[in-house]
Formats: sequence, C-alpha cells, structure tokens
Amino acid sequence: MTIWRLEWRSALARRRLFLWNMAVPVLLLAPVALSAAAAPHRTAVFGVFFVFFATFGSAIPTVRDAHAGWLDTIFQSGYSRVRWLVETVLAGATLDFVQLFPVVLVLVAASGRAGARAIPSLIFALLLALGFANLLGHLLAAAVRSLAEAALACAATSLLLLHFAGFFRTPTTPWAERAAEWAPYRPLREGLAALQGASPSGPPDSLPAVLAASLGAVVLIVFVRRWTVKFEWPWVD
Amino acid sequence: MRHGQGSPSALRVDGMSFSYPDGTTALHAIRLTVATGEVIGLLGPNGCGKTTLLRTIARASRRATAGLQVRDPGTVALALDRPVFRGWLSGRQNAVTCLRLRGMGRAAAEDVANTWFERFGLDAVADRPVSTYSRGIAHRLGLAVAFATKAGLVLLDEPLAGLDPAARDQVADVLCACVGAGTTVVLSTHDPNFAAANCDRVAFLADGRLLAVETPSSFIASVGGETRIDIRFGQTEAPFERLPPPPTGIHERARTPGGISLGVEDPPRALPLALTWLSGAGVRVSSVDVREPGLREAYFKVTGQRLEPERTE
Repeated sequence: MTIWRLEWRSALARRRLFLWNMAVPVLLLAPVALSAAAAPHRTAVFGVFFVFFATFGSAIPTVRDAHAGWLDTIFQSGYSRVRWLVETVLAGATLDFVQLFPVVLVLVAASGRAGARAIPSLIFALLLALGFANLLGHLLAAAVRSLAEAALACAATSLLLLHFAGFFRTPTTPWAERAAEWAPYRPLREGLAALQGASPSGPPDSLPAVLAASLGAVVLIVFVRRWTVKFEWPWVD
Repeated sequence: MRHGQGSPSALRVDGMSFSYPDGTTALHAIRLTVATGEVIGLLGPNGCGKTTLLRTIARASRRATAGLQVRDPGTVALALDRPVFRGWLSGRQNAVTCLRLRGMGRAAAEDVANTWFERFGLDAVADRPVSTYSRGIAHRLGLAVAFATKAGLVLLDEPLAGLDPAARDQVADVLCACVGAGTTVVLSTHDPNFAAANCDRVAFLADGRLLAVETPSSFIASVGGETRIDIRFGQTEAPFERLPPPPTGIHERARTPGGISLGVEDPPRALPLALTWLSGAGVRVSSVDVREPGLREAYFKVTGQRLEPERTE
C-alpha cells in the first residue's frame, strides 16, 4: 500500500489545494443545484463536472509525474506495476470522492426528500464513475505527450462516454438503449437523475455498466506492463 | 586494483548499442565488464553518453536489453544528478517511500533512512519539504537514498554535481565503505582527480563510444612523467614571433591565442627557467597553472578530445 499512502500523504501535504478542491465544486455546482434549470440539464452539468474532475485529476498528474521521471523511479524500484495502477487509481478515486463529498451533500440537500432516497445508489454510482474515470485518466496519460494533449484527450473521451451513457440525449433506438446500458457512466446518470426526482423509465440496472467498467479495468491491468512503457525512460517526444 | 579483482561480474555489457526513439544513436557497441565490488568511473565530456549508459543499465534491470546483463537485476539503484522526488513531501518521507517501494518494512526503512541522513549530513533538513532544498542538498538526498536501498549495483550520475567540498569527501568515504561491503558502483564524473582517487578502473567515453578501460595508474603511466605548465599571457597580442626556442628540459605542447602550454620533466627547475625565457622575450605572464600528469591528459591522449572545453579569453 505504499503508493496508496503516498498519494494520500501527497494530497494532504497540500492542505490549501485539498480544501480548494472541495470548495470549487460547491461554488460551481451549488448555484446550478439551487437554480430552476430542468432536471436533465442539471444532471448533465453534474455528470460532466464529476467525470472531468476525476479524469483530468488523474491524467494530468500522471503526465507530470511521468515527465518528471517519478514514475520511472517507481518502476525502477521493482514495485509491481499492477499494484501501482490499482493503488493509484483507488487512491485517486477515494480522494476525489472525499473532495466531492461536500458538493454531493449540497446536491442532496437541494433535492429534498427525493434526494435522501437516492443517496445509496448515488454514492455507489459516483464511486464507480470516479474509479473508472481515474483508470481512464491513466490510460490517456500514456497515450499523450503533453499536458495540453492530456486535457484535450480527457475532455473528448469523457464527453463521448457521457454521451453514450445518455447524459446529453435520451436514447431513441434499441441499439442506443442497449449501448447506454453498458456505458460505465450510466449508473451515475441514473443516480443523478434519481437525485433530481426524475425517475428513469425503468428500474436502474447497474450490472452491465459495472461489468463493462470491470472488463476495462481487467484489460488495462493485464496489459499494464505494455502501456506503461510510455512512462519510462527513454521518453518519446 | 583495490576491490573486485577476481570477483564474479556484477555487470556485463557486450556490444550494446542504444538509440533514442528519435533515431539518435547515443551508444555504439559498448563493451564493459564490471566485477562485484568494483568501482568504475565513466569519464568524458558532456554529451558523450555517460548518463545514457547509466540509464540503460538501470533500465536493463527491468527490461531485457540485448548485449547487457545485470547479475542481480532486482538490486540496482540509480542516483541521477537531478534526483526526482515529490517536492511537497519532506526528504524523510521521500526516502522512506523509496525504500518501502523496494519492499523494506516501515520501521526498517525509517531506521535505514535515518542512518543515511546522518552520513550525508541531512539531519537538519530531513523534515523540510524537498521543494525547499538547494540543488546540492537534493543531490545528497538522492545519493543517500541510492545507498540506503542496499542495492548490489549502484549507478551514480555525476555524484559530485553541486556538492561542496565536505559533501564530496562524504561521497568518497561512502564509496569506500560501500565497496568494502561488496557493493558495485558505476559512476559518471567530470572530475578526473576524483575518478583517479576513488575508482578501481576508469572508462573513457567519447561520442558514444567506450574507447578504453584501465586502472587510473595505468592511464597515468601511459602519458609518461611529463608535467604540463599552462601559462597565460598578460597581453592580448600573442608574442610568439619574438620567442626564441625554449631552454633545455622544456618543450612546447601547444600554443593558444592567449597563452602557451609547456611540457617539462622537472617542474621545480623548469618553472623559473620558463618564466625567465618568457620575460626575456618581453612576454608578460598573468597566470601559471602547473598540472601533474593525470587522467585529463590520458583522456586527451586516448580520445584526442579534451574533457572540458578550452578556456576562452
């Protein structure tokens, strides 16, 4: 658990940044939660923010650590890459969750009784989304060459996946509906929709999305040695 | 040789070449065998491939590399001249993390880190964030961590970079102690005197090629017993046309726009003669630098290149 501890210690060592990361989501999302915006629009705003928060927050530090040579140092030590990936993703997801927790409370409070009932499914969906987004961030960090490219790749990929999950439209064809079931961010959409009191057409079934996210995680873990070569010296410019 | 003679090889490089992803070939058919417990110094100017060779050896400990064998790949430590740490964590936290990554228990890692902090005089700054360290202190932290890992093969990239004289002595002491304990060290340096004093063998690199590997004494013997006297003139116009032939026992090695380099066999006798010779020709002398023959001269003889660029006016 050395990497897990390192990530938490690093985050807590920068207390001001940690608190800032808690305050900014509240400052940005509370006005939306308290506004008269339609529920699907609010859901889209919250979903985009949560997914961007985790994906950018994972990819950009990873690119920076890779360029600085810190990841090369970790791999040089002989520490298992699988452990590195699992620990860093879990640490990133839990840190994101802690930092987003105040705004989640605000959203729940703003949504009244419906929000209270949606808390368990929302927490589960949020943890799943944050874990997947952190994993995706690491993969994207390995595919890009700069922080700017990382930001672009994170935005484009996240928006595409959010679109597949139905954040920006209601699936109108059976094919699109079936695809949305397997989208890793679908439970997040369902959870946020429930929070707004806008129940989906049927009962939320997270299993396909969980399976898809798990399959993605397994593939990345199995091939971790191959795709993390980008984080090692000699770096490709 | 003081250490490593007759020991099994800790590192074997057999015709290894290395090219960067952009196609630049940095190392050409390197051949080098390092015995366990030996200290090898890589000597060469900037850009000759020293750091690349060290990094390639370090990388080979985790990825198979053609022509390169590390006897015990699990125990290789690399200390770069600009070590990489988490700047917002303290030196102690970074060191303990690096040791824990290598599988050391928490208590053991803290004990070992404390021991090495003391050896490198880092006690006073151990709990300060690394981002507040000067380059020299950060470098000492990198060296302390590399040795604290108890690696069998320690690779040191410019271990003297940014260090004050006291810290240089600490590095020399640590090298001596570690090698006595069976640690193999490959280091790169620009300091031929340090290499001569602390390395069992020295390898001369130039343009990505390893041109010679010998003991420092063999190299120095190969350049003969001639001492070099570098004299810089106190006038801008080189007065070579007025100079008569040098006195007996002195010969000209080279002329530069601002001075002259002489070779002498007996410096105490030759130096007054040389100064009289120059002043007799109306030459004003601004500085005199007497250099005993050493690795710097041996490097020039072997490679035809200088270890450091010529000083300009």
